[in-house]
Amino acid sequence: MQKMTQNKLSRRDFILRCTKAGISAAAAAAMAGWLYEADPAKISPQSGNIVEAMNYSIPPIAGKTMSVVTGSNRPATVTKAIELLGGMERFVRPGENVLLKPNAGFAMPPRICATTHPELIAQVTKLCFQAGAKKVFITDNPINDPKSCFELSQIASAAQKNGAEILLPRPDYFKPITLKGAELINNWPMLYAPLKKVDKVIGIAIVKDHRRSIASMSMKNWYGLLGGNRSIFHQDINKIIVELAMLIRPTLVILDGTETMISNGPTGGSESDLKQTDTMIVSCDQVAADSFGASLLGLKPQDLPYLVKAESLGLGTTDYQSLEPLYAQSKA
Amino acid sequence: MPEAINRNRTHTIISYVILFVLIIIFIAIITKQKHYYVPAAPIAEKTTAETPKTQAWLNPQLFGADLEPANEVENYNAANLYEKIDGKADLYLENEFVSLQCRRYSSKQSQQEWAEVYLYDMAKARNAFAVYSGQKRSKSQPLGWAQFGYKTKDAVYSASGNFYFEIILSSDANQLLQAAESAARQLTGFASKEPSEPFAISFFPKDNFVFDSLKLIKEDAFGCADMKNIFTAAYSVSGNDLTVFIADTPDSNSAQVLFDKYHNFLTENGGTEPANNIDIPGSKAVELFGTTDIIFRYENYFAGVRGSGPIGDLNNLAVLFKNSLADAKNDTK
Repeated sequence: MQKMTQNKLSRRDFILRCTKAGISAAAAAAMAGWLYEADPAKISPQSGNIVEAMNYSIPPIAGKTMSVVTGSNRPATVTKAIELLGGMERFVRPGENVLLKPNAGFAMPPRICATTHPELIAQVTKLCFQAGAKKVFITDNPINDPKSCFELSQIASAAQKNGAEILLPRPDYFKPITLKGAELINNWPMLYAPLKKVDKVIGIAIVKDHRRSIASMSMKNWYGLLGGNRSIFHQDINKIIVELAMLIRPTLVILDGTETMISNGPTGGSESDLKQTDTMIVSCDQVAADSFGASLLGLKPQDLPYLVKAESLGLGTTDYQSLEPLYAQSKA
Repeated sequence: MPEAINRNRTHTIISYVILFVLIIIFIAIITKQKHYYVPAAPIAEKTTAETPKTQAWLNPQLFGADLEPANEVENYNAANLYEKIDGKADLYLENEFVSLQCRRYSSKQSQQEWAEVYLYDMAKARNAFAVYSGQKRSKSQPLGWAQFGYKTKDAVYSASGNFYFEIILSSDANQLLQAAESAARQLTGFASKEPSEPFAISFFPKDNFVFDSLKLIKEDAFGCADMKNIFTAAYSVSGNDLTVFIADTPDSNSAQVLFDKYHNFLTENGGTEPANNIDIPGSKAVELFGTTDIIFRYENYFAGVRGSGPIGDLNNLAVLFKNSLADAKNDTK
């Protein structure tokens, strides 16, 4: 009898426990409701960080701003072009972390030249390590599935073989950015974390025809740092290219014009879209690099509104001859 | 009494476990929400709600025994076409693009050898032809079996009915190209069975036609601002290169308006009408800077022949064209 009494729950206890349970459930639900935010743009504690520019440039040396080397062997031409500007040691100090930003936008084989050539990635990585770089990172936020893009373009294997680390775009790498003086880069998600990891940034792009922007080169290459539904920027492509150049002041840009995609860009699809132009451009001035690159597509800088605008904002010069580029021919 | 103590202890332990789980959930929610991410792609749905019937065309057997699918069929619509082809999307979107299906096929021997098929539904045959002709590669060979098709050493391109497709290859291996051509043939077969309204270029005469010379001039054809969306084809007659052209207008009035505008354009720029009779009632001939245009209207079509050859040859080709047009229209009635 005593046992039964002990096991029995009194009415008072029952009501008390039910009330406690109800209050707990209601509190949990209220907490969930309080934490829930349907609009992801509002939930970041870092949303809308205002930045002026992300400056990775180095002090200029007159007469050593731009080099152009002709030849078909990419590792040889890029090595020579960097050597003419003072060697990679001028750009990368021992112990520094370096970010290479290729164009890895498409899941295409390197042969088609829609993406940065893996030989170039391999060689620039080697040069960075030879200069004493602690780490070399490679990142891009491609149009197609990132893993497929890095693998099929063979950028991943080139990086792996030479000790560089691929940073595939991850949710926590993105951060909304507002660029001072910009209209489009306003609380817009950018591939930010890889940029914050490093001391130097090197853009490695290819010269391509582009149906919307006429040409895709060094400045357009930063488009791969945008997150979000960036296709809306195609309506204002010249402005976004200029704003990206305002945002990223690279240490160096390498513009590969070994094979230029002269038609059906930016994807191409066949070697028939390519023209052998055997030119490697390396420059501390991305506007100057693209102005030279435009000539490989039979264009003048004035044909590309974003170059004209970038120059007017002091981001570089379209008159690349004024920089007295160093020319050479690769014997390789 | 000890039993009651045990029971209370059990309840306490269970309570702590529940609290612990709630704390874990709380931390997980906070961590998840802290990470802001709006990736490049998933704003628009990659897969359309309704599976397009063309998806079945990209079947596992499309490339025969040597290649197998490396992924599922990807579906794109007008909202997310940029995600697949970036800036080139404009060309398709300007031409009534409906959908794109893509699939990659890999060699069973080596994953490095692959082919990717891009199958575009362009709603109308004229649109499919527009995107086909707008991207024509110069270093290419025609596909002998296709009305509109060519291959480069590493890709195959073709338009059939309302569809345009590309097969991009990972290398220029001949075996891969042969497999791609065979797949293209199958796709052409599927596409040709789909209903598609006939369009202007079906009416071009077959004799003396220069293979693969068809073009669509979107604007300013022959220097005239009013001449838009003009289909042209080259003909070789007695050693002279002549051009046949046609515009498909909404109705016969529009065709007449275009006829008058082009005629005015020629005469206002100094064109003169030769004395020769043209054997097409209602037609006109104008000679300007050594090139003669013979223009005429048939129902809702405005058409013509132009070139610097003898006017007799131009007249004969114009008559042939007019008859071909009339025959084709009668067949479709």
